[in-house]
Amino acid sequence: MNPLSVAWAMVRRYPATTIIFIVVIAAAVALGIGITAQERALRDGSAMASDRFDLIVAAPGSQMEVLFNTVFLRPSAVQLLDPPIVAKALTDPRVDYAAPIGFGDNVEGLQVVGTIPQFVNRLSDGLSEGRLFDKDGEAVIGASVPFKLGDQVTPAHGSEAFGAETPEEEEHEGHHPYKLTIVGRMKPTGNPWDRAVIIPIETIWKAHGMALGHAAGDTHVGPPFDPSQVPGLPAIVIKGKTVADMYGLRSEYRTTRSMAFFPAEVLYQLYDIVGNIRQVMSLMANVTQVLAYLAILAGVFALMKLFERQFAVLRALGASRTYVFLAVWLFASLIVLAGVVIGLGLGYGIAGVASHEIWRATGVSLEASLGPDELLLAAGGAVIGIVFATLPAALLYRGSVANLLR
Amino acid sequence: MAGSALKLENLSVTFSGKPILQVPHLEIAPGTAVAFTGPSGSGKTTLLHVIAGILRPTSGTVTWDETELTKFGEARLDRWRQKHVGLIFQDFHLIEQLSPLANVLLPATFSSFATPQAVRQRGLKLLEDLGVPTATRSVTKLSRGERQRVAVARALLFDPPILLADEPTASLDEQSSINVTEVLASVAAAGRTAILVSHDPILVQRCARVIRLEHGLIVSDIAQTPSHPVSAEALV
Repeated sequence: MNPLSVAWAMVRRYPATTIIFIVVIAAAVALGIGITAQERALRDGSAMASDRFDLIVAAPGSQMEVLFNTVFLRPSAVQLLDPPIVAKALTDPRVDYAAPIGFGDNVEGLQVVGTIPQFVNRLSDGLSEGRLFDKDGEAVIGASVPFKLGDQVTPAHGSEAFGAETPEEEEHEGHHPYKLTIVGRMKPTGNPWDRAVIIPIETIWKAHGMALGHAAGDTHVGPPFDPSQVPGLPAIVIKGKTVADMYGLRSEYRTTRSMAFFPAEVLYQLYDIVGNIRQVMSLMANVTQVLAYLAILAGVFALMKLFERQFAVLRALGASRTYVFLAVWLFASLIVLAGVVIGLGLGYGIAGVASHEIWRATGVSLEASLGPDELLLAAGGAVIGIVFATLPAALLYRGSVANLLR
Repeated sequence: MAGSALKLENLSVTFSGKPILQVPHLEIAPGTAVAFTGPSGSGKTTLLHVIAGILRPTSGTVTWDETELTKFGEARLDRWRQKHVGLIFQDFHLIEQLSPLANVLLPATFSSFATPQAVRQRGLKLLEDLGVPTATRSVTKLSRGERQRVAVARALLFDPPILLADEPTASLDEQSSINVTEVLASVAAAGRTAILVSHDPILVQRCARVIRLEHGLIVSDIAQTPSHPVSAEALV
């Protein structure tokens, strides 16, 4: 038997109603897919954004806050790590590199971050153009920064988050205006450093009237630093020579005067919170989906009443109950499947738009994709919908053919 | 088809305990055109539904070609009906979203996934023979007379030995009614057992037997010929 033509005729008989049913299911499915895909994109994107930040050492406080400061360049006022600890970390023989991180200024709203050339290289695996900074007053820009090599820019004190300061305020705080020449551009890193202006840490120290990290007259930038000349820092990113060194360093800097953590540790806490939120939202999305199916079910029941006489005619012409059951089930299943497929695409689109917006707001590159979780969710939704579709098909046809034909 | 007689014995249909049809004995010879007449509510359509196997009688038997249909289960009755009975309704009951040909071929989809080419050709030929434009995409583009002819073609797709029609001309204009009457008369003349419920004198006059029902009972059963037509009162 082949009741497809009858099912298709039903779709064509009430196209607007069918479209509304499909849209409702698609919206419900898209919500679930969007939440799952977005949460995964956030997880992957944030992990990728922080994977070059091996071990972060900072003053005691909130690890989350330091992580947001250092990796995601979300500025907030943090306590500075004591100079003796900075000095010890920067000259520790177990480190492959120890990158001081300093903030405080902005160029046209873009964060200015002070660090060492080796860390720029580590983040970007080489530059896309130009060269690394090798003296005070030079800068390397992130991949998305709209400056050109050779451009000269003047940073302002403060950051967007705190509000840039006026020249009078800067002077009052001992901030010395300085100019930067762009000498290189990083490759895309997928993290907010793509939108930062990265300069020698010494330039930051100098602008803020701090010790310059080197003996007087020593104008080179980057390590080695003079332990007696290093000021306090918001954070240091350290890469140990071995895994054992990394764990040893983490343990050693977990004191009352400093804290050390792997970004992944903090991200896992974050994922835990986000995961719980995602679970609640997914549950809500799933409930919405079931409610949508129930609403559609009620709608299909009402619609089927309009087709009752037509089904009676089919039975009178020799169609079996199974044929009529299949026609109704196919009709409802077509709606469900169309809704689920469109919902899958819509959910992917929503996650894509959300990812783009998050990237625009934070600089963290997120890639929304449809993974096994989303496909499973959609398939589960389709199966539930198709099972639900049997209800009108099974319950509809209980009246007498003869009575319906009168 | 010879020898395939339709027999109804001790047939009774009750609804909520009230008898609405009682037929002690009725036999219709193969190839006969029979018209059931009578006032509304007299049991004509009920009788037609019982013969079609759509409605099970409360008691009694319906036999076709020595086979007792009333013993059949629902699925078997469905198959028997598909093969042996062509049904025509007053309101055509075509699926508006389908073409005339798709409507005619619909019964073929009840039992097979793909419509055999021979069945398709037969559907086309039936439409052509009945003068229905086959290129039309939807039956809604057809006149009412043409739609009824599509319904006739659908009923004849499997060349059934029994044709049942319930007021087939009642919703047609005069000219369409005459056309459809001619079609049905020619179909009946081809050796089918044609059983019609109708108030249409033109259609009834083309039948060999006119059976009148009142209050669920057969009150007259008259053989008619062109020279001895049934009186006008038997037609209403």
